[in-house]
Amino acid sequence: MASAATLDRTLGFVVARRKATWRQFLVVGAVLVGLAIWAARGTEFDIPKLIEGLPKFWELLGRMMPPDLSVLNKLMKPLLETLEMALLGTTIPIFLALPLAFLAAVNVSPHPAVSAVARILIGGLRTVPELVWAMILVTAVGLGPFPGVLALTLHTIGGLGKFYYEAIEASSPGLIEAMQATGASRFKVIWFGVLPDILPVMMSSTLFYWEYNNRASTVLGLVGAGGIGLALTHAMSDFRYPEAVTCLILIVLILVVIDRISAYLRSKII
Amino acid sequence: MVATPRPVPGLPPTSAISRLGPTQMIVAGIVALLYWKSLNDTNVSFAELVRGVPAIIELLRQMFPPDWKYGLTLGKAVVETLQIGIIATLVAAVLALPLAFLAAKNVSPHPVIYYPVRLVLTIFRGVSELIWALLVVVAVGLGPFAGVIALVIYCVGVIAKLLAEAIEAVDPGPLEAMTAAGASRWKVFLYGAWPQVMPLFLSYCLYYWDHNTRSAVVLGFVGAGGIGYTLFFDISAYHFEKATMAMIILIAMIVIIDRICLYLRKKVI
Repeated sequence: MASAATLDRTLGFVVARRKATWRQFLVVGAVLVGLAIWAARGTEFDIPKLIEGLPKFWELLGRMMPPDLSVLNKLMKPLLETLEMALLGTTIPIFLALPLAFLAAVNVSPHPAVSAVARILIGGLRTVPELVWAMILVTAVGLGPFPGVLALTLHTIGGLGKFYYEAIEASSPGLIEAMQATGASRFKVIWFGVLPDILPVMMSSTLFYWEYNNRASTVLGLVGAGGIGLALTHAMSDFRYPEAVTCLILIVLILVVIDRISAYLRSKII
Repeated sequence: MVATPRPVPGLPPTSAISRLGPTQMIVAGIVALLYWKSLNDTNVSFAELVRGVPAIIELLRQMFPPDWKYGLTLGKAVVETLQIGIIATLVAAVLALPLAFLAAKNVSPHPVIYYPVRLVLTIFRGVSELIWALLVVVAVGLGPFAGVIALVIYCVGVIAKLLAEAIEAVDPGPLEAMTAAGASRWKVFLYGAWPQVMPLFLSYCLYYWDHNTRSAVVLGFVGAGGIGYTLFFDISAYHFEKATMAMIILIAMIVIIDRICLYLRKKVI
């Protein structure tokens, strides 16, 4: 019975939708095609050029094979560094993003002006890609993993901050009101009311950023911020392709493993 | 008699540490060790941060005020970045659709197809778009086209995977009912599965549009054009006041795209 009802609803939805949006569908299609043509022209989108270039690509792949496994030992240290940058670049921002999120969330923020400023700060940090932060910081404080961690931290404060304040704003208003009615201070409302309420969302979005940062920290080396990206860049620029492909394989493997760990942790939390 | 304090649901327990079992203690110990080692290896310390402060203050001094006039010359670069984001998302969306159906366990024609497609998708999204760009540049040379191809490869990997998961999570009821009623495989898909999956597909595409525009900036660093290319040169040449201007424009651009996405999401879903 339940499935029949669902079927009715689904079919009804489709039919209603088709009638109502047939013309809109055409308009949207035309707009998308127009956008595609405009963007393709501007970016020199050229499939024949791609096909022409494919032999060169195969040749590159040919020179990459077989992977040079003798460098594995040498790569362990940069690989570990990459993972460490991601771990710190995810953990440190939690402590900075959380207070910022409480200032930014409209339902617990001390003042609308504070909330607006906090949101601009969070948005700005999130919008600038971590690689841009890394490049600026490398110029400022020098090469190495330290500017890498700082860059991830800056970007992640923005990313986590947004997730956190959205979670806070979505937390049940009844809870906060009930606690305020008992005379609880603002701090107590946050600590005992809001925080336990948003904890699962917080953990899940933090895990998401941990995955994201592991991926990001593999390329931070491109601008000199350490990790396996640096080894990869050196190998590529010295035309040591078998070594570069070993780096690539390691990167894919480690990201798959992280993916699994993250999925496991998430299933534990939620 | 004093009752032993029991954890109240919703409230943190009075003493979290005393409730930890031996396994949790060991895990906590390992985690603490991991952090300690990470801090050591990456030279992250308060002292290091303090030592970096003068450099960062000097940097901020050079970054502000931004070079406002410079912003006027960036129009072309901004348009190019926008175009890279748009075309990459559209192409990736079109390519991801069929691949997602091959990679979803419940509708994939055969495991012989399912497993290789999954593997290819994993490789596509396992390697960051920036590294793809380094490889693609060898084939098609420097320029925005290389950036577009790199973004398409990465994005197909992600969108197809997410979509495949959405297809696997489809409520099987309508599909079975339609199959029982004698609908063809194609019709089962179009009227049974697609309506359930479409909103998710559109929302993934919108999300990745935003993501691709942002990535297009970074791809400029490896020569794929757009505002990232300008930004790269400004930072390399220590023109920080110009870099700030480029970043302000970048933020404005992303905020506008964010708003458009929000609007479209409300409209469509």
